[in-house]
Amino acid sequence: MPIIELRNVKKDYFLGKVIVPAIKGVSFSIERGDFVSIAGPSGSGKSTILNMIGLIDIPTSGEVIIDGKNTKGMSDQELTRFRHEVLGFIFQSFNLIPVLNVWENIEFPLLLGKTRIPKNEWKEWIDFLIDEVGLGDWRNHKPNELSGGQRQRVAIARALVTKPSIVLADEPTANLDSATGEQIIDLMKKINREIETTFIFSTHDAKIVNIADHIIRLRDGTIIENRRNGEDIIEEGAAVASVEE
Amino acid sequence: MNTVLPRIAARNLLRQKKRSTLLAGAIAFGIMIVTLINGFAGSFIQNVSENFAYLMGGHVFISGSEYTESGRRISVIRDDSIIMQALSESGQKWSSLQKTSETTATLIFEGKSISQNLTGIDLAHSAMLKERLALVSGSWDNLAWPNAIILSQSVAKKLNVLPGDTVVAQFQTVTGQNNVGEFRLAAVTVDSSFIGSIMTYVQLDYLNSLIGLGKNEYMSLGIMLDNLERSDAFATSLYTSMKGMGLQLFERSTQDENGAMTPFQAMIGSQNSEEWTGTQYRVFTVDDVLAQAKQIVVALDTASVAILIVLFAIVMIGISNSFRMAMYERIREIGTMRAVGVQRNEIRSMFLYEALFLALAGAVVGIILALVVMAILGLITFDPQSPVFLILKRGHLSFYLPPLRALGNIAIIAVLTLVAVYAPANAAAKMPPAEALRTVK
Repeated sequence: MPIIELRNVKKDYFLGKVIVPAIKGVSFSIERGDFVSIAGPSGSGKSTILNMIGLIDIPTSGEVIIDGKNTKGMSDQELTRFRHEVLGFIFQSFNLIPVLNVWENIEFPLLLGKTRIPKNEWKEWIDFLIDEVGLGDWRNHKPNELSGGQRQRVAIARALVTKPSIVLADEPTANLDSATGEQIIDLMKKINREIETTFIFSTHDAKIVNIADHIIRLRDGTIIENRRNGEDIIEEGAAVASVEE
Repeated sequence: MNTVLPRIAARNLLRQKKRSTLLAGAIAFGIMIVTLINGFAGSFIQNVSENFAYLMGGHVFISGSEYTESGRRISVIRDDSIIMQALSESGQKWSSLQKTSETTATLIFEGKSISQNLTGIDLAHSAMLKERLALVSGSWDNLAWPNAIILSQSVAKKLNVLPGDTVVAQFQTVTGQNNVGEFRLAAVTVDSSFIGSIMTYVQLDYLNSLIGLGKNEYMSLGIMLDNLERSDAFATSLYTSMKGMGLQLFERSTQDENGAMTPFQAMIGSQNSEEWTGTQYRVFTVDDVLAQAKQIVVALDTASVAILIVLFAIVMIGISNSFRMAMYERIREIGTMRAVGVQRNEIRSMFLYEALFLALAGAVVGIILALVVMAILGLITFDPQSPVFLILKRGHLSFYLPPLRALGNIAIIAVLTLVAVYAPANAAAKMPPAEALRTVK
């Protein structure tokens, strides 16, 4: 069973009275444990797709099924709880909480509700993550005392702290130099292999797209390429979408 | 309980130090003003009552009234043995008793004259006199003179009289006949207040003999207690005890439909619509006399609440706008928090915590500032002749802040601040996470 399934998902934005279609009916599946790249130029709909998979945005139509659960019709409270339990987020601008230090930023999601990790193992787990992302000497520092690469490492650790099934990374390397960006992607890949978390990252950087097992390429809100382990995937929904278009 | 959100709220306050300091400063200023007014009002009635109690020679008073054969009503207690028995049987404790007779007289010396209220007390044995009055000239030893008189400095100056001089007094007896008497100036006192300066003390026995009262008779008995706050309970108990002994008593009330309109009128014996035979007694307290002063306290308290609300309505507009700005500045943080699992109501709570901490910090600083200002104002010594002397405590301004009042002010501020911040907090909570994350600051 795929961990993520999008069925004919559309998303329109309203600019005054004008309807702007951002996603024009896409369907695809993502397998558990895959390292997935959603690629495409700016404005192609990468972030919108990630937001809908991340349940922080709701499709205008279509269905988003995460971990076997159809999220259609869920209340804001249920979506928030589900996000907390199943998803981890990494943002382009790192989005750390400026008043918390490295350790506290990573701990933060654990304090928000039920987690898979028993409380007495939190400290050990956070310490492990801090060492894993190479910030052992920076645990008491505030975000404004860190470099961009270091901040993104904190964000990665924060995204992983609840042991989510899926980590979503929206252009995680866009605000980093290319060397640091590659390190971040390598780190994500390493963790993906070690703890078998599904990673989905969006990027418009052709160099890092190809590291992924599964590449979904977008243009103007439609899928133009859906390739897993070098083979094209023909999705039923995608065919419908192209017919509609 | 999840403590991370209050922790973030507290740190967010420190993050924008200037803004937080200004807002907390505005709250502190308002609380300080209101606390000062409350503190002043709190001690006002106590100081006025205490000063009045000393001027009048008691916290609780018993006066007697009777009709003469000619139908004239006079103020007199002829036999106090039952009163003394009632006092001891009331089971209450008192510090001292003072028997007093009074009359209004014109004092004359070498062609100069002045109208004064002569208060007859046992000068030689009055602890109150020595405690409250400071001598300018003369001596306490002179109080043994049978016709001794104590004048305030301003009166002595007007009459141009010195200790040892003899002053003539012209007055009416209790039965309305004109009479004169000679008094020898024993001592001149510092003017302790406007009222103090019109008080003139003479020997009780001598005054009684002049105004037509017997040796052991007097007009009113002042009872000094160790604590002003016990006045009312003491008076009630004494009233019950006296009533139980079959004495005729006026009803205890601040106003009554038949007679005295105010306790002060009652005290000076203007009740005239009912008649009785024998002596009818009235038990009253210094607080009854000062019912109007209590109204001033109520007015001060009401004013302080009005100031609190007006002042804080202005401050709250500032706080509301500041939090609206803070919400926009932190919009990406809000989006991030929502994405990682913070619920809407928790975002709202986080802003409300921040507002609450701000209000509490401002309120605590305001109260501390008020206490400091009170302490400084309390150090100032006022001129004894100052018209405000009656509201002072031993010549100094004093404040008493009832703890519940202080807590009430803090609660009002906290609630008003929460109300002011609720709208921006709610807007932050309702912001869809994707929209918040998309916002470019």
